[in-house]
Amino acid sequence: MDKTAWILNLREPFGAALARELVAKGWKVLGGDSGVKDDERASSDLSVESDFQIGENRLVPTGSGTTGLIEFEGSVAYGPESNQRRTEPEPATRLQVAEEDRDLPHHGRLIPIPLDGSDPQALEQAKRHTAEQIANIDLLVLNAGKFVPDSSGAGLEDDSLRDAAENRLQEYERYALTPLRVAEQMLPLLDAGSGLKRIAFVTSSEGSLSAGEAPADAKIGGAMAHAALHMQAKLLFNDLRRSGYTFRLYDPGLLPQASSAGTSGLPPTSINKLPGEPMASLASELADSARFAAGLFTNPSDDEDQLTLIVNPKRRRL
Amino acid sequence: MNPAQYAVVTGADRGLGLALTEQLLVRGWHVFAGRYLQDWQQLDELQMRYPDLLVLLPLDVSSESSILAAAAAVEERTRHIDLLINNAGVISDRNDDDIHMAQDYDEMIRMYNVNALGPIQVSEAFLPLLQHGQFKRLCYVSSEAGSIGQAERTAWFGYCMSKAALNRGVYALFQRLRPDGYTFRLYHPGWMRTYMSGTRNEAAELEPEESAEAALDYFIGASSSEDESIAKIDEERLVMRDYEGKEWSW
Repeated sequence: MDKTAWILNLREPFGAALARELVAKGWKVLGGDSGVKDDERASSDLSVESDFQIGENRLVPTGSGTTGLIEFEGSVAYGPESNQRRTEPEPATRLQVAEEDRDLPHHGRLIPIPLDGSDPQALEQAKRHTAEQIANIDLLVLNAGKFVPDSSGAGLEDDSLRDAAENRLQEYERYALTPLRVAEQMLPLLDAGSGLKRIAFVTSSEGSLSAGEAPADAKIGGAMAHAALHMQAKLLFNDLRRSGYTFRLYDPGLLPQASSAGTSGLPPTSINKLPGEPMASLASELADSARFAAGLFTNPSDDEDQLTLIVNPKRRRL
Repeated sequence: MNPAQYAVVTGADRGLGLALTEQLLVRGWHVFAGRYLQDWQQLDELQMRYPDLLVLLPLDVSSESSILAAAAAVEERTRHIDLLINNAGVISDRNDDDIHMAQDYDEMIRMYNVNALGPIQVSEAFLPLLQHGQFKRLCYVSSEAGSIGQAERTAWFGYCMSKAALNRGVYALFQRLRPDGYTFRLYHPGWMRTYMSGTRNEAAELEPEESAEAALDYFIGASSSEDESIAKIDEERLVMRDYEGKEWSW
């Protein structure tokens, strides 16, 4: 039987890259996609068979590289490096990377579901559409993130108090409430399965005070919203572990970190930069991060009784 | 003669906020008490006892215009404040709804606006007044419910997320303002017999006055110089401490 994953924000670059990796591993992937209208839903043709073995993939690290630390807040693990590299030519500009990485192949194993994440009623429709396609979900990926940092969520800065409040509330809706809404709606489909029952949160370590890296320049709104998401993950972990659910909490490390490399003990990230093209490696970073995540999300962990924030070991640094 | 000391306390209508206000007045502080419940009379009674020290401020911490108006009202009376206590907070009666039950997202937004964003917005609005003072002390009433590392609950999404976010927001302020000489206190008040849920919680462990006494010892130092429990606070390290002086993990 197919293993099935559902990804929030399927067309967001990390979501799309993760979807491709999961399909390559033999998974069927559905996901919320704000770019698809209801009458444009892809068919559910399942005629394409995968040659990949589902489950352990010797080419992908297990992603279980926990350090053995006990509690989530205070537990930050840096998984083993992926030694896979993209072989296709890299696009010259960051914008091109983002656009190309939004492309989703259409071969029946990747099904976008129309979803406007800001519309709660749309979630109910997305749940119905999903249930039309599959009997259950094995892996739910709550990817509320933004690939490209922007200027929202300012505080103690130039925004008026009103603008700052609105931005910060929007970030709470985006990073904390939308994932919770999705979890609530999709839970019955997870409950219906007898397999993996895994929930994976894509987050940012800026929300963690004890991760050892709380960047001083982190926007307050985004940092607060991610802290709320981490709390949400812990509460769901406390509840659903009792029913056999397992959890992953992952920072893709794609947003630039301004803190120095020495603060966390990580080796400096090696980014090969071509002259005049400082972002030329972004596509490969995205692919590496998604590849790592695909292994992390689908493989067993050393300790499913602890909730650990796993940070992409090749996180980007300025 | 010691110079006058000025404090602002949000959510001072009743419970912990009212107790903090009264105990500051007893210690001789000038207090601007943020008032949200216009029909609740305990602050009026307190003002009759301390007419020269207590000023009542209409204040809804979830409203930017209310926050700005309150700051302006304080600035009409004093050029500086020494102490800001962000105490205002709300809770929901839907706390026990786990993820298999329909969640109330409007309630979650309400709690986030008051418990998480409100204290940050208030801090930002009153910063100019704090800047002119010498003490520069920012205090926040949080909760063990915001401790992710020690979280054992299986629901309470809105309240716990709001308090975890508050802790993270305070840490961001700490990182930015500590170099300018500001000091911070983050406090878990314990389970108190207050009206936070709408009716007085008689099953709780503490009277608000008990928690307020411990809070003020932590916020501004012990009233008795013999109390050594508040010694050795490391101003370079933000922690959440409870009414017994115990530190809580993030």
